[in-house]
Amino acid sequence: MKKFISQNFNIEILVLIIISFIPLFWFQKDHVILGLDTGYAIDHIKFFLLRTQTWMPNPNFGVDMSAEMGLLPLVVLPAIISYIGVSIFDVQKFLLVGWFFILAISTYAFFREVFDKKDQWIIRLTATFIYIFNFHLYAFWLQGEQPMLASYVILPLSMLLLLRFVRRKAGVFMTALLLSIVYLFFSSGGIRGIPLIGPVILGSLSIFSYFGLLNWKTEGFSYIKRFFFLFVLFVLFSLPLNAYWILPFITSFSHEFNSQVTIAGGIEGAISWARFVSGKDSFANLFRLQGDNNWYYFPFLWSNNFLTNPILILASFIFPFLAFLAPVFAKIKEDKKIILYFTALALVSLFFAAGTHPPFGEIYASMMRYIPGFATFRSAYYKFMPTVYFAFAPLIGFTIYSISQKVGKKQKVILGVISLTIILLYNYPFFQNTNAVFNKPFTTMVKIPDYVLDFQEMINTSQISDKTLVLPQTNKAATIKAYKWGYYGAFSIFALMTDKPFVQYDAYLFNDSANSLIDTIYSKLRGGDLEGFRRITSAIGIQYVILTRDIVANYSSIPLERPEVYQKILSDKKYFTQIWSRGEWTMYKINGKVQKPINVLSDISVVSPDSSGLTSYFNEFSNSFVLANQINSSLLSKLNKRAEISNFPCASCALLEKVDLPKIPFSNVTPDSFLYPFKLKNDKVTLEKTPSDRRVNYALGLSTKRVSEFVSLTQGSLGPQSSPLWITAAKLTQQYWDIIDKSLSDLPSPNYSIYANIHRHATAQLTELRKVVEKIEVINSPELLDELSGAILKIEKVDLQLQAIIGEKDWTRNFNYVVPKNLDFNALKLSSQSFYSPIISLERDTPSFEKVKNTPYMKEVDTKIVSVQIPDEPNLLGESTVREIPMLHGKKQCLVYPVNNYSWQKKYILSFISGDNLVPKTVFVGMKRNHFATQDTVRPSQHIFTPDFTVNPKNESGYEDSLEFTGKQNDLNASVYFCTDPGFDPYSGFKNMYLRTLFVPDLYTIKNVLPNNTKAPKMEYKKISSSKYIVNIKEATSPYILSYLETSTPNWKLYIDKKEQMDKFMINGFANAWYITKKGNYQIVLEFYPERAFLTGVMISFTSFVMVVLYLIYRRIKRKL
Amino acid sequence: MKKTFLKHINKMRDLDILLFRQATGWLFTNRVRVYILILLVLFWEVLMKTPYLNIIFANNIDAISATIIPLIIGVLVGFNGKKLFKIAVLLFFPLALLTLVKSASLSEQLGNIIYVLLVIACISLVTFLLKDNDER
Repeated sequence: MKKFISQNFNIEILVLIIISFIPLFWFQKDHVILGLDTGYAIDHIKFFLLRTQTWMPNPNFGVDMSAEMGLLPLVVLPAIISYIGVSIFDVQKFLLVGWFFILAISTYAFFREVFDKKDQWIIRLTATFIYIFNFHLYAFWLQGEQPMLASYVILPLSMLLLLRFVRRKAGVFMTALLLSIVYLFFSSGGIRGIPLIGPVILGSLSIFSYFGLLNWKTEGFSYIKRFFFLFVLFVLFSLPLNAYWILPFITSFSHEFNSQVTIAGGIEGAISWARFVSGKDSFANLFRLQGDNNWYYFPFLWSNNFLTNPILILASFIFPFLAFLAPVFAKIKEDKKIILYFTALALVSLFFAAGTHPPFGEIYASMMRYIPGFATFRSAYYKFMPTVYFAFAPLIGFTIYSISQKVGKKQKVILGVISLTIILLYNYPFFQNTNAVFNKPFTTMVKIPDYVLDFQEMINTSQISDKTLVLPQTNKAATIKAYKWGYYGAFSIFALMTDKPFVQYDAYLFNDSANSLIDTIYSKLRGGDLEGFRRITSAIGIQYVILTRDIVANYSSIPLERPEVYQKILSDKKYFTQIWSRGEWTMYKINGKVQKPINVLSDISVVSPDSSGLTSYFNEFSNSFVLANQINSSLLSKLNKRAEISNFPCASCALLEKVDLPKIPFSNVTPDSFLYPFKLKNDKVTLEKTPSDRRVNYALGLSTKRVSEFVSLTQGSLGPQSSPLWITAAKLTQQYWDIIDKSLSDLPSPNYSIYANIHRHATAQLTELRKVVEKIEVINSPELLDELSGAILKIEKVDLQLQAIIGEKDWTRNFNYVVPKNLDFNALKLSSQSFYSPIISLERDTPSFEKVKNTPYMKEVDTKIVSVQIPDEPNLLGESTVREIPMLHGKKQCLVYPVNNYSWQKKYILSFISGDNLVPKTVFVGMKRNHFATQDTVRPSQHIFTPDFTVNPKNESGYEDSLEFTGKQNDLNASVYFCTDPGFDPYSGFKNMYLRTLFVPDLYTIKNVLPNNTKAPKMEYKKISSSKYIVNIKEATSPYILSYLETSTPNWKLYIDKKEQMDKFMINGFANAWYITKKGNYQIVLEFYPERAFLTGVMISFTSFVMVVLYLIYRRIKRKL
Repeated sequence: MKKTFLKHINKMRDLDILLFRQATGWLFTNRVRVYILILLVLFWEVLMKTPYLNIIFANNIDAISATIIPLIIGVLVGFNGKKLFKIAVLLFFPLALLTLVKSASLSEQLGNIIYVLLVIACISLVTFLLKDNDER
């Protein structure tokens, strides 16, 4: 027994077991980890079952999860704990204690391999403590982020196996096998986890190169050969073991890759993110094992003490001091070898962790640009810091051990205990339970309100299966869901508690048309157009609405609509019936029937050209539609069309855009230069063959180039201008403007954005050329003067024609639409958003087809111009008061006007004319809103006015200026401030102040195609799973459309007699539809294809895992024999 | 005493000539190095202004400037790895002080110097270890 204890009872292991219970310190009573990037659900079992399928049906219209199956092992753990009966509040405690122990024991195993002498316990424990108690990991512990925990575990385990392999303690086969098992369990989430195994890649490469360098003399090429075989075997073993996520990922690779690149904003987007993340990652910070930029940007975090407390600052220097003393202490050759390895690894990983931070950041940025796939490590600090800790840990341990060698046995134990205690003391946040609050009241450790848990129970036990719309709408710029009880995250809370589908505005999940559709639903409801709202919800299968009044509407960073706005709308019993209410949540049923998930349709409507026509469409119809830009023309021509709606954008609105005049640059190569003929050679563009709009742009560019050469005459010392090329340049300028003149007449339809662009260029060029002409007159060069004057005349001619168009009307009240001349339609209509109700009466006005304009550029070719004029509104500026307004830099004397009938959804345009030249002028617009107290809120001072919009008009009497503005979701009201300095009269500074709404009515045409006699067949369907349906078709007599109202992806496939149907298109802007021609009675299989790949993958993974386990058992038995 | 003093004065009187002779002598004996240096400076000037290369220079100017001082220190101690490690570790004291007084820019530069010093030290020691390996 004694022998048993002495051999197996290891005090070091006991220490590790004890510290594994530290996560229990982090939980407050009845709190769970939820929100942000935690990845935890409220109902772990339901969430796991959902994740066992490649199609997740509950967030909005369903999400393709085929690239996410690698996360399965991480989702299964809480589900298992929950399944054995552990309460929701204790599941994560079990889980995190388990992770802590696995992390501690695997780290310890590695250091035991490296420092195996009995008296080296001090290194083993110190190194393990430093690796597991660190602030990089602590930030992830606070979220219980399992992928990061797995990446911390996989590093020491894989390094242990590789080191044993290098030391020839393990063979190629066994190392590869064990490495692939380690990778199976701790791969940090399959394909998504690849960035997280950056430390392992770095560690493996470092072991390979360092020991290769040392062993080259003895092993030579055989060393490379062994590593090569190891790599090949590892891949061979890993592929079948990980087939469960690799196979479904391959089926979705092409579109998945594209969407990921788009989300990341391309390589340059990744680099700019890397620059942000690496902002504080100087070596001075990294040496001290710091550099998380959250520490610096959020001073209210737990971490602030480490930046401000002098004792903690000094303590942080102990780490690098001890770590880099280790090479000095290493005397024995074997120690030198291993210590130098860790030193080199520390320095290399410091370089990587610093990312794009100077001085070597540009090298990292170049690696992101030029090494394929390296851009995935864009968050350098977060990805490579584990290796820094991993390298620092044994170095620090070794220094302490070396010091301990110089003292007695007792003192040695004391030194070890003191070292471990100091590490724990320095990491005191590990023993607190308040640090999960990252921006009070938002936290990753929340107490879920009872009404949310009640709702979870109700929804999971009810028969509800149709979609539910969540109110209020999320902020479109940042679709964060934030609740007063602390939840804050991009992930919908509903997807965490049930498998029933809930629809919310979630920008990153969908295509533009789906977003536009969801936005239209909210806008119809908010605007009180309940009939329109019901039409859309019925077409896309939304049967319920839930109003969440506990949403944080007044959060200053991400304001949302006030829930009260919807309270009154939802009380309309004609449209809504309340079915459930507890606490802050109320659920309503939308009265009326909705489309089922699978439908057969005999006809469909067409909306052209894109989702911009959706609002207009749902003013008229409620049946399913196809967007003209989402279907190929040959398939479109086959469909039976019920109606066609064409939406026309306002063409003249291009004239309303405020764009700065183009800057004429300074040219270095002028006609005097010997290089000039080469420059001209390059500028010869065959303008004739290009379309007229592109021709205009070419000519504008070239004329700007020529004018820029003349500008150099006014800026530099006046040269001789004897070169005849100056005359050529002037003549060319004239030619270019001739081309512009002609091209404008050739435009197939009036193009207001080109008019505006030419006008801007003409203004800029005329200003410069007039200055040049003045100079030329001084130096008496009559020929050049003539040519330049000719150029000015040509520009003026074109500009005058354009000014006639631009200045013809007030384009804020007049809108021109360009409609094809031969367009066939039954009705031409106008509509607007319902919140512009005062002007909605315009719908009844008949827009007039204007005749051909009497200007050369407005010729009728094959289009018509529809002009719409809306009557002017009364001035929206209310009654003014003169007030002294305290600003940040002194006071202002202001005329303050409240905005009458202000609505945050409207767009406003403020116009005014500058008055007295002597009066300084500034115009502000300020909105009043409530503020929800969060720690990051910069509360507007009671004493200082902070404007939302500012204009500094030209101080020139009679100068007309304008400002466009719009509000934010929870604005209470708005005011306009016309201000001057104290002592001046604001009344004399401004004239003709006028505020009106700026809105563009939608113009659309309706063509009712006469219904033909086709009839949809009878249909019944059976749901096999979320990713498979069997549809029985009866009495199909003519072609029809089968729609499936879930997000359209190429992976949803439809089979008839095992043959895939290829006539597929997107219906309703987001869903799947097939055009089917087969007649009679038959069965259809509707299937999400990656599910098949996933199930095959699971079989392969399971079989290979069993085989591996059996092999290991066999090996063990054989050894014992 | 007086004579010696006068002697020194006389020498000082011709100091300009002496310096000139020394300088010309040095220039003649090292003329190849001087030519290389001039060429390098010219080359550098040209490279700095050559399109694309100038971007590389501009982007890596931080890295180049962070390397110069540690290289000089390396030369001074004859690339003795252990000495370099000791120097680098000692530099953590001023770094700690600079961090305490919140001198961010200076501490960042000192941090860069320490990092490059540590890299040079590590390379020196690894090279030494390899040589040691070879000899055995």
